[in-house]
Amino acid sequence: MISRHSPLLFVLAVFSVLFVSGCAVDKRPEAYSNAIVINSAFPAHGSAQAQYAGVQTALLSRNLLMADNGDVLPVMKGMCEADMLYRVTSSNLPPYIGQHQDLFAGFYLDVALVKGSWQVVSTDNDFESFSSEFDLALLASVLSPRVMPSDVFTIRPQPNISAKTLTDLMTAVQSVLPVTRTRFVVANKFAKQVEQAGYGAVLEYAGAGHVYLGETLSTSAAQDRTFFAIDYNTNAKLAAFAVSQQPLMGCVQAHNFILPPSKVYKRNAKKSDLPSVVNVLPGNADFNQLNEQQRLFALGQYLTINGDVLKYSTYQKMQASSRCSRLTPSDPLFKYCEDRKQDVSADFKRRKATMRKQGN
Amino acid sequence: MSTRVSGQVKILLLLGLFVVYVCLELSLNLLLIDMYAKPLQDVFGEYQLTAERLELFGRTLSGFGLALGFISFVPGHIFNFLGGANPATQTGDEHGISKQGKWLFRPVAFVLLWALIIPFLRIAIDATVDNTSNEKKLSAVRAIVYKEAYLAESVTIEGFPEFDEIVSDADRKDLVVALIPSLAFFSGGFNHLIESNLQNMADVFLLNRQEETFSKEALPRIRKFDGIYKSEWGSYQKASLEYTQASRRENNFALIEQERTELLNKANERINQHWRTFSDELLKADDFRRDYAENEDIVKVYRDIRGKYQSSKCDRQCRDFYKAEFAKYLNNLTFESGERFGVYLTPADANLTKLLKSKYQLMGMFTRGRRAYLYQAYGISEEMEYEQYSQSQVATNLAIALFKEQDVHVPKDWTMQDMRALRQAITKKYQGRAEALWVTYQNGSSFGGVPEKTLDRVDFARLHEIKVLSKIVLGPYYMDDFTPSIAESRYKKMWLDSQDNISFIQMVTSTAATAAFAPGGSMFQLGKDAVKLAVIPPVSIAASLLAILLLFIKLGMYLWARNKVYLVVAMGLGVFAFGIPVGKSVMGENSYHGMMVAFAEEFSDVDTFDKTFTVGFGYVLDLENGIFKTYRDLPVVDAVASVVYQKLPRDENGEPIDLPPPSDFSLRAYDNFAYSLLGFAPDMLGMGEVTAPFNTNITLLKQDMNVGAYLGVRLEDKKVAQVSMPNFMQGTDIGLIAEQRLFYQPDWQALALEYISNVDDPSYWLQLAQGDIAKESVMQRLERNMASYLNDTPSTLALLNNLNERGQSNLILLELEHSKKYRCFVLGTVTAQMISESIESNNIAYEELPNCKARL
Repeated sequence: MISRHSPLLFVLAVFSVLFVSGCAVDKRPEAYSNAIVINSAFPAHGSAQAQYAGVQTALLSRNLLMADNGDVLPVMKGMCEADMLYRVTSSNLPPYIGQHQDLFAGFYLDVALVKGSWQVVSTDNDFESFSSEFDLALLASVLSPRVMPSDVFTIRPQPNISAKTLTDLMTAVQSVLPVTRTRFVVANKFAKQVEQAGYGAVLEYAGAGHVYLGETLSTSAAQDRTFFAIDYNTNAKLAAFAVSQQPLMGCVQAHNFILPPSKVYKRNAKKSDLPSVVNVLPGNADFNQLNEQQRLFALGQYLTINGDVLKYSTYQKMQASSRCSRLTPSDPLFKYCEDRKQDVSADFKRRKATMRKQGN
Repeated sequence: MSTRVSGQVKILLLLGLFVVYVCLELSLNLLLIDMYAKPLQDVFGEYQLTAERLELFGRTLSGFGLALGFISFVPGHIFNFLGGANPATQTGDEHGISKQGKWLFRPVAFVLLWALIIPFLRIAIDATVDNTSNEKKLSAVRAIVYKEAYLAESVTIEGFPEFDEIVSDADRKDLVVALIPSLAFFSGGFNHLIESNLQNMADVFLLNRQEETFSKEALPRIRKFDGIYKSEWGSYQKASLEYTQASRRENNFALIEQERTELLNKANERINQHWRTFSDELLKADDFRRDYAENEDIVKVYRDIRGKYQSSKCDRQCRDFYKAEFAKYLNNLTFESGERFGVYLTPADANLTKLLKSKYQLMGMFTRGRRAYLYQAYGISEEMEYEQYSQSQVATNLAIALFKEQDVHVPKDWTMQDMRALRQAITKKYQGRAEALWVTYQNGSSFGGVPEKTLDRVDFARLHEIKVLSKIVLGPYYMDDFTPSIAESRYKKMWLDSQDNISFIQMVTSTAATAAFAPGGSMFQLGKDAVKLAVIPPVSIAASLLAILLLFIKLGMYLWARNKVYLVVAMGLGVFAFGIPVGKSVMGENSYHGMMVAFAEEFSDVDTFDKTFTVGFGYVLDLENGIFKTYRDLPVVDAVASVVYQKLPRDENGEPIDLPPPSDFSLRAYDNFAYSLLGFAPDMLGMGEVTAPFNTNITLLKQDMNVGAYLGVRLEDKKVAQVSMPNFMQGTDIGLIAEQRLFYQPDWQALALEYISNVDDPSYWLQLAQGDIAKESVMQRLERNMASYLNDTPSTLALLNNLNERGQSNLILLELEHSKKYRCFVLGTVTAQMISESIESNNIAYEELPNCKARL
């Protein structure tokens, strides 16, 4: 029937079908692309400068990263297994501050009341003597451009301040730093006062429920300040530490995160470029003196993090053998390497006493 | 004829009685050997009652023999006087004994005498023992020590292996063991040999005891520790390795990056795949479920609803309702398999007109419904194109969901550029895995593990936790020198060196101990026991042999006069019964006399008596050996043994309980009664010396475990009333006592002055040696000073009173490294049994007093 009345009827039929269903929808793209851009961009504090490209790759394989100024830093926050804080001692900050979101958890400041105004000071862990660096009010201008949204500020006023002085300090800080991300290191009795003001409290001495400032003994040349928390096993666990000069060392001291070398040192190695050196440096090497390491590499030596110059061969020997295989039998510790000799018989045999005729 | 027959009967009767008596004597003899061949522990323990009964049996039997012998030697006419009969009435009697005398008075006298002899033997023995000098008692103790050590096969005589062979031969052992104390006691040479070797013996016994303790107690503990340590070190090594690996996985930037890239690749893939399926399905929507446009069920429902819709009664609201109704029907349409029909038709798109055929109408609705369905199901709006989609929240959410499947949790507001959050999320995924492994190790460790994760073998062995573990496992056998690697032999040596147990043997055989055997002294009882044990058994055994021999002679004499035939028969039997076994023994390969001759040559060279005695001892051994070997299994002996044997009464726990008192009419009761009645006799003869025991006996041991001094203390009203130092000068020197710093008293000066002023006078030394000076002045002064000194030392006085109240009479003070302080031990009454215990089972019940305050 349709064929008889074609083509008009056919067109009508088609049109009516189109009318009820609409045109076919084809949303197939011409080409598919990646929705998420995959790049090997490393954390923010790493330098993208071309001159560092080779060494950067080598460093990354060791969990390390080079900053723009050539400092070698931990690759990521997680490496230290504790929060790393940057201790502000002067208004002069290293260049990687401002790109530290993958490195530092925040800042640490010692403050003291000097001639009626709060000053950021430089002092030791005991706060025995201090030298003032700059006015707390200037902190905003020093830090503001470089502060990250996640940064936490830990402020330690000089010890033995009164409740009123503390209130003054908290008021002064309010205008400079975000209250919720700021903590004060105070005597245990002031913890409540600090918390009521909206700040976090860190205790001066060990106490449960709070993070507390570690004693001087727990600090080191790299870890200027330490903070501990008591865990469920009532063990004190390092929660955070503050560094100023040696972030890498501080982080290594908290957790030895540097991966073992990916390549084995060979005496007749022809390459002595920096990446090759980084690839063979032992875990205890000082990565912040790569040029010196390169120089020593030619001599078959390396510089340890403690400043000692060691031979690669010594390191390799240490790695390949246990202490027990190195100890000589005359060493007092050698005995601990031996299994117990089971040289006493379990079935006891009584000995006879022998009677002898005594000489007359 | 009748006299001949009565004579025969008489002889036969006599012979029968004789055989019975000999059998009894023989049994006694053999049972004595059996008894004294046992360790003293048994003699005084399990066989205590049996031993007492055997002793009574022996006395009864000997009493019989003695009484018989005595009576038969008394001329018959004496009994006539007793009876007052006429001596002339029985003139035919060759002995001149009257009938009354013969049948009444003589038997009565015999029984009376017998009854008297039984307790008197006991009294005589006690008196003999009491009168034995302290030196002799010490010799007896030595003899007993040797016997016990010999029996326990703990001692050997150099160059004389024969003794060792005997004691390890069960057949020959008993006899020699039972009789050896007498040789050791009586032979000066042998006793001297023991004396000079006692120190060494004591050392060896003590060492044995300590070594045994080490092997049985300490060694299993050490090996148990080794087992624990080995498994702990193994699990530590495993945990350490696993931790390091997990830790490197946790903090490894390269691996984090690798995972990040993988995740992002997967996310991109999924985002594109999502669009791909979406756009393909959308394209296919035109023909969607085309076949079902003619499906009867659907068409029927469609027509049905359309009919209602087309009804003239249906107003606008009604029409909307049916549109929605059909849309609902189509949307909820499900296949039997559960598969949805797969369209989402809005009520507005429901076409219930009659414009076209229902087939085309339905096809149109399927297509539109399908498209709507796809937009909704894929979360993509109608207008959205691929380029928009790939940067939309839909795509982002797909990525977030994919990360979540891989246990990487990024926040909900994550954006596709936020690599920091992704890295952190990946880090977090692995974070704590190493720590969790470590917690598993720690939970599995018997001591809760250690927090340090990279210890090597040396450091692990030196851990404080390991030290604590070894302290717990080794318990009292732990010393600071113990390490997981110290050789057992080395540790054993250290442990042995650290032991300073008191040697009981050394204590009781020290020459300084002589004093303690004095009445009231701490070893008074021990001395008596020792003498009895050294003297009585061999004497009894010899006596019973002698009795058999004498009886044979007596019988022989009797038969000689009456009947030679019987004499020959009896003697033949005697020779057969005793002569042949004894002869065989003497001639035998292992004859004892030969051995004892050799022994005498070597060790008994003190004097002729000594030598003779030793050789004689050998012959006695041969004699006994012949009898013992032949008759030890005789049924008669067993029968007597079963009569004599009485079990030690024990309670249900197996603990010995008090002996029941003998019944009123028993032989034992009579013996006890007569013994107490006749107790005056030794006093009358001036033999008895009764001294009440001291409240406390103090034994001072020097650091080398030698006895420094003995003190007997009497307490009255919680004060020291008297201190007695039994003649301590004997065998020891005064300097030793002075070294004990006991005498820093006011009177010391006088004593010292006297001592100094006489020190070059030989006669003073002579007097001192004889104890004259001591007895007269020094001893008394020292004793007096000691009493007041102890009273002035409150802590020691309190200790003495305390011990007295607890009924412990022996206090042993062991000097600690040249200080005035002492370790204190208490000991019950010292008995011979302890000798056996200290050699055999090695547990003398020394009780150390903790926090002892004794200071002298």
